[in-house]
Order: sequence, then structure tokens, then C-alpha cells
Amino acid sequence: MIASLKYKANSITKPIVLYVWIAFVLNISQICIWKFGIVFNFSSQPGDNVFIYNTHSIVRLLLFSWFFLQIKQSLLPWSKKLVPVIFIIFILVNFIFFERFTGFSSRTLSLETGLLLFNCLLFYFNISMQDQELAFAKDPAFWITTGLSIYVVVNFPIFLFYNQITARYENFAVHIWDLHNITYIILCLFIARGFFLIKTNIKNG
Amino acid sequence: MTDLQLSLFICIAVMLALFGSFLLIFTISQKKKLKHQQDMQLLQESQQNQLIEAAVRSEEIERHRIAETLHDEVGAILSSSKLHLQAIKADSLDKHDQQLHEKGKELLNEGIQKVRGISHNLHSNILKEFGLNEAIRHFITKLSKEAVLKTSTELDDSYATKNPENDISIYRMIQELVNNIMKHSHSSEIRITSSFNDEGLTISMFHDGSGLSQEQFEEYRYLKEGLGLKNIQNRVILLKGRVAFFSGPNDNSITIFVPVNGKI
Repeated sequence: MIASLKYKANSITKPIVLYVWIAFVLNISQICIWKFGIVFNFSSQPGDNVFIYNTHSIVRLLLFSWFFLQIKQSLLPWSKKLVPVIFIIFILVNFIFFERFTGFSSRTLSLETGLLLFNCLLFYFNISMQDQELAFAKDPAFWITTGLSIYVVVNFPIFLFYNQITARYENFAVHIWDLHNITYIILCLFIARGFFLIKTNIKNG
Repeated sequence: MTDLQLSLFICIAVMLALFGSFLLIFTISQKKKLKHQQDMQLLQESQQNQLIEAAVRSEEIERHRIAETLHDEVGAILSSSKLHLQAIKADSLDKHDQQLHEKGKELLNEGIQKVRGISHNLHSNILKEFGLNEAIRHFITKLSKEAVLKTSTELDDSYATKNPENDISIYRMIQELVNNIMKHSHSSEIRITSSFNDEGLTISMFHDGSGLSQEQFEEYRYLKEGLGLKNIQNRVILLKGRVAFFSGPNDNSITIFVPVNGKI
């Protein structure tokens, strides 16, 4: 967040700046609902904040899809437009007919990470196909995509099995969520690195 | 550990391994691409140097050819004309014709001197026989005789030629730059200094006219008319050296640096 304030975003990283701020609000809301629920006893269940995970997932997919759409790529450019469309259709069908929005949705989060992973891989393939070598160590988009890749690669199986795990091994579910938190910190660090590089690139012209 | 937990860990490990391998292959392929580009750049540079070298060599050959033609053919004809003119018995001519005869001889002598001068300028005989320093001194001294120009040289005599081809290029650059100074700067004084150390040879030219700045040099050398400056740049590239222009209100300088390992 400090990095997003300190280093002015370019057109490519604008969605990420927006994501960082929305994620901040969502994470704070999550904590507040949970903590105040316990303190003031207005919440009957500790899982009352779970709908925010679903909201976070939708926001993350939409904003990162926007981020990938900003990057000009020659390989399957239409597929990047298809990703948010598929996801929106899925969540509408899923939450209207199959699942409650207030419950943790393994399907939604695993589909989100799967689609984001597809976008990340597409980004790498496009770079590999370019004739010009990309100075990827200096490219903010590369760092943000790599951070996101690590996050989605680790969390895809966690999200996929999470409903089953919580139902059968509640204690293990709490521990495995720490792994999610670690990868989320890694994602934030990579995003910060990306923001830092924007400033460096502007400085170097 | 239950099957579900184990499956989850295996799944995470496999996903991470796959992504790690993918990232590794991606990095290696990018590095290969970078190396290929660097190789291509080196090849282009080497081809460019070969082209410049060929152009410089052919220019030098052409200078020699013109110098020899002037000296051996035009010079011979002029000398023969002088002999014929001297053979005319001036005593038998009237006063008017005697004056014309004298004027003719004078002009012919001047013509022969001019042709010899041009021929020596184009040819690098002094350079080959006595070295770079002597060639520069000779060139500068001749200039002060021909033009109303104060000249001086402070050359480092510890410089010994390692590659005569390099000296020709350095000498041609000095010729071109001094000619430019005379033509465009309206200076009244030119001073040439040189210093030689383990790194290379530094030759500086100072004059009190209006000089070129580095920015102007960079601009003019791309112009069609700036053939001389283009030649200087080509020779500098070939010698792997540097040329720096400085323009001040009262003094201007041009510095040529040629590294010891700069070879044609």
C-alpha cells in the first residue's frame, strides 16, 4: 500500500493499485466482522465474514483480468477477454442455483485461481514468443504476474479441497490457511517490487 | 495424515514443481535469446567495422593514386614545360616579351610547387619514413608558411608507432580537423599537443577562433555535407578511440584519444 502511494502507477498497473486498496478494505472488514462479532457478541457464528472471501475472489479476478488486458500480447488476445465473461457467468449460475454467497465457495475460488493461472501462463508464453528480449528483471508486469502465479499455483489445490477439509478436518483447515496467508504476503511483496520498478523505470527514462 | 491431506500436499507440491520448472525454462530461453541478440550485435559491429576499414583503405589507396599521378605525370609535364621555357633565349626577346617570359616561368614554378605540395599532402611519405610526430610538425610548419597563422606543436616524442596504419588514420584526422579550423573558425593561432602513456595516445588541438561543441559535432556528422566529420568519426570508430570537442568563449579544443590496443 505504501508502495502504491509512493510510486505513481502507469496505465498497466492502475488495476493493481485499485486492487491493493480494495483488498485492504476487504481484509480490514473481514477482521472487524470477526473481532467485533466476538467482542460485542452481535455475531452468532465465526464464519459470518466468509462472504468477503467470495467478494475478494471476484474483485481479484476482475481487476487482474483488467491488468492482463492492458498488456499488449499477440498470442490468443481474445482469450483474455473471455476470462472475466466465463467467471461472471459461472458465479451468477453458481450463487443463484447451487451455493449460498454467505458460505465459502471452493468452486468459485478454485475457478478464479485456475483462470488467473491461465492468464499468467499466457503472459509468459507471449514473452517467450517475442523476438525482442524482455528485460524482465526491470518489468513491473513480470514481477506482478510472477507474484500472482506463486499465489494461484499454491492456492488452487487449497481452494479446491477447502470445503471438504473444513467439513472433515477443521483444525487442519485452520493450519493450511496459514500457507494461503504466506503466499498472499509473497504476492504483496512482488506487487510492491513492481511498483518500485515503475519509479525506477521513469527515473531512467 | 489422511488421504485427503496427503493428496492436498502432493497437489500443492506438484503445482509448485510444475510452475518452478516452467519459470526455469522461461528464464533459460530468455537468457539464450539475450545471448543470441548480443552475438548478432557483435556481428553487426564487426561487419560495420569491416565496411569502415574497407572505405578508409580505399580512400587511402585513391589518395596515393592521385598523388602519384600528380607527381609522376602532371609534375613531369610541368617540369618538361619549365625546361622548354628555359630553353627560350630571353635575350632575343623584346622587353615586353621578356617580362611575359619571366612571369610565365614564375607561374610555372608556382604550379610545380603547388602540385608537389598537394602530392605530398595526399601521399604519406613523411609519415612512413619519419613517423607521426614529424609528419604533424611538417604539416603544421607548412601551414604557417602558407597562411597568416601562428602555429606551434608540443608533441610527446616517447610515442613510437606500433601500427603504421593507425598513424595514417590519426594523421588524416588531424589534417581534416586543421583544415576545418582554417576554413570555418577564423582563428589566428593553432597549437597541437600530444601525450603518450600506457593507455594510449592523446592529441589535442587548441585554437582561438569559433569552434564546434560536442553537440554540434554529433549533429553535423550526420549531415550529407559533413563528409569530413563523418570520415573523422569513421576513423575514430576504427581505432576504437574517442574524439571530444570543446567550445569556449576564448579558446576551443579538440581532443583525440587512441587507445594502445586500438588496431585497424
